[in-house]
Amino acid sequence: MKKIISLTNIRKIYGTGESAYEALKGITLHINVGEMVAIMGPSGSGKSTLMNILGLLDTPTSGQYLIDGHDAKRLNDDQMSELRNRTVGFIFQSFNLLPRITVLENVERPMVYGGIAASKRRERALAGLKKVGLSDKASRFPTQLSGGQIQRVAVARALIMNPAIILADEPTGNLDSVTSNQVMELLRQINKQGNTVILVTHSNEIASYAKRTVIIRDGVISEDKNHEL
Amino acid sequence: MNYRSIFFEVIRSMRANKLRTALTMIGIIIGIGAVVAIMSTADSVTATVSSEVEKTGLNKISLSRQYTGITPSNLDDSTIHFLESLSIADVKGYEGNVSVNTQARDYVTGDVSGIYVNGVTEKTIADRNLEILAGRGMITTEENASRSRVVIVNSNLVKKFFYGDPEAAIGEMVKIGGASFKIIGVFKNPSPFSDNFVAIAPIRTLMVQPFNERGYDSISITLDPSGDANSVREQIMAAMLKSRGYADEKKADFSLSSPRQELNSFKQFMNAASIVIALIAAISLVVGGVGIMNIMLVTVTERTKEIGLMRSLGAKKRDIVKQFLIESITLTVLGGILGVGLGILVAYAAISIINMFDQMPKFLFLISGVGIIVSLVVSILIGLIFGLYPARRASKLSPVEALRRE
Repeated sequence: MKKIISLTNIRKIYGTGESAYEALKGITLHINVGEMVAIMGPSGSGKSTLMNILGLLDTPTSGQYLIDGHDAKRLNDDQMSELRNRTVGFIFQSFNLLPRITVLENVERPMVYGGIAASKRRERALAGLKKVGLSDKASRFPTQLSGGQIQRVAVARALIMNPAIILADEPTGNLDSVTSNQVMELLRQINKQGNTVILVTHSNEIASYAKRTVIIRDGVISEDKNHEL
Repeated sequence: MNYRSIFFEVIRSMRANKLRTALTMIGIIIGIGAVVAIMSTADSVTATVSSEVEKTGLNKISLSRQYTGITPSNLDDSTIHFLESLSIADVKGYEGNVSVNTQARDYVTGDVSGIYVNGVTEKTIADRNLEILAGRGMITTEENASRSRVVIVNSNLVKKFFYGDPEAAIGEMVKIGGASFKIIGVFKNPSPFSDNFVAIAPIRTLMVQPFNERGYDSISITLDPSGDANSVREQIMAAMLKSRGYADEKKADFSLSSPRQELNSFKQFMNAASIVIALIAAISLVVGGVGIMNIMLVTVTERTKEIGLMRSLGAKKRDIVKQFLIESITLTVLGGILGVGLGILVAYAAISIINMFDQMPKFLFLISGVGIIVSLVVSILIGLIFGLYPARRASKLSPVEALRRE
């Protein structure tokens, strides 16, 4: 199986000297193409830091991170932006949508940064919204949507560049169980189509959608179990 | 980058913060408004003066007596004969003018008032376009040749000396500069605001009056329209200086002026003056620009989390810079457009107020095209210059820090 993500002895230290704080104390983790992985752990365990490093939003202090064959250490700011644009789709717990543009424009935005022609963007964004069942909300503004609808728009946007990796950070954290299940079903479908899905969650129920669970405690992986079988 | 989508995003955020947007733009609106108003008013004045000067004839040079206490006048028919003998190319002809300030006395009351007396020939009076209220508005060849003491007076004089009845004044005598003149016509005062007394008399009559010091005040030199005024002026100056024994134009007892030269120097002066005043007004644009920078820094702080989100979607640093530059330029250009509108209104109001006074000539109203173009370019530049620092600051935020910000 081809590895899409390969972390070797990743450490992340915030601050310097006496006040230095080591959030990640040597993480080694490999994720194959097409996997669905839940990363779990209590608050302060370092799972968010790991998530940021995986998404190229932050850089490790030491260790090697290979994403889709690229060594993160050798990427400049523009190249990291390009990878975030084409290879990673983000879904956050909250504040997923830009508030002053419409739902359609939010879904179009990654294509804007990706340099896709304006003529194609609209069509693709509408198709993306249709997949999450929100075609009729295209011209609404984010404030006019419910929490569940916002997360589904975020899913449509995360998929719009057809990225190899979907990174979802507590994607259902603010949702009730019914809408949570809708969003998780969407993510499961996406995974079935071949995208690698990485979930960060503290909920066992949400984690149960994934076949593999990685548990982090105090900056190290304490458990990595595959419950497919 | 999709400028259209960002532009609409900017417009929506402006609409959401109407008061803030308006207050931010006020500096730009006033600065640009002042520049456009000043430049448009200056253009209007220049155009009005130019068209007036052109009406009186740009193809003329005036040879005037420089007051040096010389009596009688040093300009007379012999001066004209001397000039004619020079046979200067491009000159169509010479004509003496008499225009004196003396006193008119009312025969009945004995009241004395200052009066301007102009000398005319049977030909030159036709150019005056007088509006005749009574009598005639012309002088005959005979009256000029025989130095008849006849005058055409303006309505102001009739109002004072003849109870405002023009018909009653015809045939009456008036004492001008000690000599008695017969009134043969009355013309309407061109300006209702002027209360000057004006009289028009045959030029040859005036030349021999004691108050005129025997001669002309000035000699008009008419040129071919295609003629070179500068060259003619040089030639006449050289010949006159030589014949009168002066080494230096500044010390001579005469002077030469050409309306074209004067008009050009007036235009240059107006241009320079309007640019200087507009530049002073433009200082307020710097203040406006600082206001823009201030509000853009606030905006960047407010939207830190959005910036993080945009970075996570793949926005490069330059995309973030562009986003905020578009926002600041939209603010300044919008302010600039409103300022241009304000400036045009102010200039229009200024010219209208000037024209409310019923004088001649009416001022033309011109909008300064240069002023508008310069203003809009300056608006863009202000948006660019004062938006760049906040925009760069936004782009330098680390994505993870920005996302974490509440």
